[in-house]
Amino acid sequence: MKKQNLYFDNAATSFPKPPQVAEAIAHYITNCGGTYSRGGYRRAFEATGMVEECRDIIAQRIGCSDPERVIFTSGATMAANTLLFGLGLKSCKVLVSPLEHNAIMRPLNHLAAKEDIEWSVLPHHSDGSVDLERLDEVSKEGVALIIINHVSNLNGVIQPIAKIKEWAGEIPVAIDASQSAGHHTIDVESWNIDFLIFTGHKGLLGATGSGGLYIKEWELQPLIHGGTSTLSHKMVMPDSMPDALEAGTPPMVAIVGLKAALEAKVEPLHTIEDILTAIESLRQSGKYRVYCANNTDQQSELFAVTHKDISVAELAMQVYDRFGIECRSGMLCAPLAHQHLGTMKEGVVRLSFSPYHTKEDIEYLTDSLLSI
Amino acid sequence: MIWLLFKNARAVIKAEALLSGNGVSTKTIAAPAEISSSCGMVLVVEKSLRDRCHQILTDNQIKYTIYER
Repeated sequence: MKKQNLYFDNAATSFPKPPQVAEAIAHYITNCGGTYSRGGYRRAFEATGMVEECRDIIAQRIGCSDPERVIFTSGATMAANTLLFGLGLKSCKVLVSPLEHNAIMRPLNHLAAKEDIEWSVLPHHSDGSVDLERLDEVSKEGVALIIINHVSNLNGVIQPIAKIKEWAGEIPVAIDASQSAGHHTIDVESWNIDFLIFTGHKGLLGATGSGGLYIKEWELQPLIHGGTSTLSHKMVMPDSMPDALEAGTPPMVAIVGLKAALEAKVEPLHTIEDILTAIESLRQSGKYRVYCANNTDQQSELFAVTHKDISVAELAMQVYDRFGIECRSGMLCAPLAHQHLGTMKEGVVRLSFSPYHTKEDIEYLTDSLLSI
Repeated sequence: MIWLLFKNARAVIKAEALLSGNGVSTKTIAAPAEISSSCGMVLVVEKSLRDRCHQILTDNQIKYTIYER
């Protein structure tokens, strides 16, 4: 009998990984071990080649025709900080979706306090999806950046990125793809977006420590300064991409793992309909309030619930103790989203899926929740 | 021999793949201090292949400089 996959916290980090990830990392550590660009010997050359192959695959996956516009970081948080601190937003306005994660909101608030930046929330529907029909009510004057969480880490709402950029026009738009990369098609060039933040260890199924930032054509000031192996006689950073924003030894192990994950091309063992069925069953039970997209076309691979009778902490404990289900509960590092969805008091229980989940796994989850 | 210098490691990797894919044998070495301040890599190629390298690299929009001694 197939072993059930009871891990439903893939929005935090994905598990399991494709077996090729561990194999590639073990091979790299055991047999390769070179670093990026530092030296002319074969070991360094091979290691450098692996990083560049990974960059090529990532670029292809996000619809970017120039891989040099993709930089690697330790994850989405560092990518977001690289963007926000590097863009030069002093005394400007920033517009955000109501579902932003603290990877965006904490650096943004830090800058707001230090550099006279104002931020405000775009008009939206009750589920936090941006209300396209009301965008024309928003003044664009002084707006230097628009930030949109492509898929919410709280209720799984997919935002209409291309239409938001169409409205934004020349104003740069940054997409936080932490919860969408790997689950949904991303096409930075046809959407005409300016920045894309991604992480390697969630939907892309790589190891922790990998992530990055796509930058269309903007020049960012580096967040981190240091060695790049280029123009090494100078005590300032080079200005060519990707070196300009990649100081220090890259996270080789994580990049090697991410490359293997991307090459594995894992196809989901369930459909979005399986998740929509779970949502509907829980909603109809009368026991749960379900936090999800108003429009099923905008539902991604996660949603959240609260129980009418027991706390979220109690619910998470019960599903784990009685059914072995691992899930996230409480506040999800997204106070702005919790504020807008009315879940600031105790948070939610979040269920987030992996391509390795089967229809049967999702039915087991649903039945377990319904029995509480 | 000629030394082919590139703006960064990514360009070295791309150039090496293109040249070897087109039958041009290269050797990767650490960039010598007298020709580059880079602590990374350069490609070394037989002098007789200079024109062939130029054609392949320019056809693929890879910028480079040549050092010869």
